[in-house]
Amino acid sequence: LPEASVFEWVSTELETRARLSRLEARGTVRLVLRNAGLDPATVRAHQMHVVVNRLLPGALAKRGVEGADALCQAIAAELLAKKQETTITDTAYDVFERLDADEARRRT
Amino acid sequence: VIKIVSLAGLGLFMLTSLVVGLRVFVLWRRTRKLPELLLSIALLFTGFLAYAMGTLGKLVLSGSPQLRSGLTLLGLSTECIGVAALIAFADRVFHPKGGWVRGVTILLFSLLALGVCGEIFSGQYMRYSDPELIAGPWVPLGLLARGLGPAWMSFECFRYHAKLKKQLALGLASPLVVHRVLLWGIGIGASATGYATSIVHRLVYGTGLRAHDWAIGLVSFQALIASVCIGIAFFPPRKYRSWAASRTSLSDG
Repeated sequence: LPEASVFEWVSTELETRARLSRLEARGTVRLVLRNAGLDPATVRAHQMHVVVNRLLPGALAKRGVEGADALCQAIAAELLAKKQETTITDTAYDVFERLDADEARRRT
Repeated sequence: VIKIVSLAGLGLFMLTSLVVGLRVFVLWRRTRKLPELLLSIALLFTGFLAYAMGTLGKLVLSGSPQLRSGLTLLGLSTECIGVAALIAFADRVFHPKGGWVRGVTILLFSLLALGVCGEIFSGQYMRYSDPELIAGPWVPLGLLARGLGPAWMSFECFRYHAKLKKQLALGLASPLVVHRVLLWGIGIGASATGYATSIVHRLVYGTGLRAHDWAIGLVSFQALIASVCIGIAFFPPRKYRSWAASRTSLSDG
């Protein structure tokens, strides 16, 4: 899943499974992503997996969605199965990681 | 003696920019990634080459006007290329999907071009290498346009750091990288305050910083902070790595 699709996919799944409106589903996912310091346009599958597992159940429970834990676990499991290599590798975090990897490579 | 001690900060900044810039350039030769290329250009051009040429321009104060003019123009162009690379780098790594931020990037590029054109066509660029007073708005505007690059970069670093702290709580970021982004923000912010000092000094006195030892000392101190922070951010020593890790375990506990 490319980054933007990760957000779209989870929002759509939430809309269908939790019977939320499109606006509610997307808004809920946006909110939990913001609380996790992530951006809907650049969030990666492995990051979204953590967010769905750890933050989304609480956010859904607050909205009165029943069985939020099980629902999130199911979405997280499917997300993991769909996970692919990321397409964006140019964040500041990536630059530091490449520097460190290069440093480690030089030392060995 | 005071001047020499003061200039040590600027010297260290040049050295740090050279070393880190070359290190990132070597990384670019391996990865061929645009951020590495942009960052190495920014560090080498703004932090090292522009200062080196600017200093040379001042040293040949008694030399021919053509030589002084040429060196000053070269230094100014080099600085602009470096700042443009820094703006492009910030745009690329902090906003890879573009959006409204692209408008900020275009505005900063435009200001940069406007500032340098104004300085050149008004002939005011020569005030960087002679002791005469500035006339008109072009020198402060040019400095402002170039200072906005590191200022924006610093703002983005702090913003990104705040996001990374949230990611860290979820185990999505390395504590060391979170700290390094903060240091990077402080370092580049110190560089931006150097521009601010120059602007205020020009507006108040009309001359360059070299007219006052305290002004050189202040900018040198800002350069010292910048070089230490950028140096540690890009070459974190072992002790710093352990400290960053221990702080995370403490907050976890």
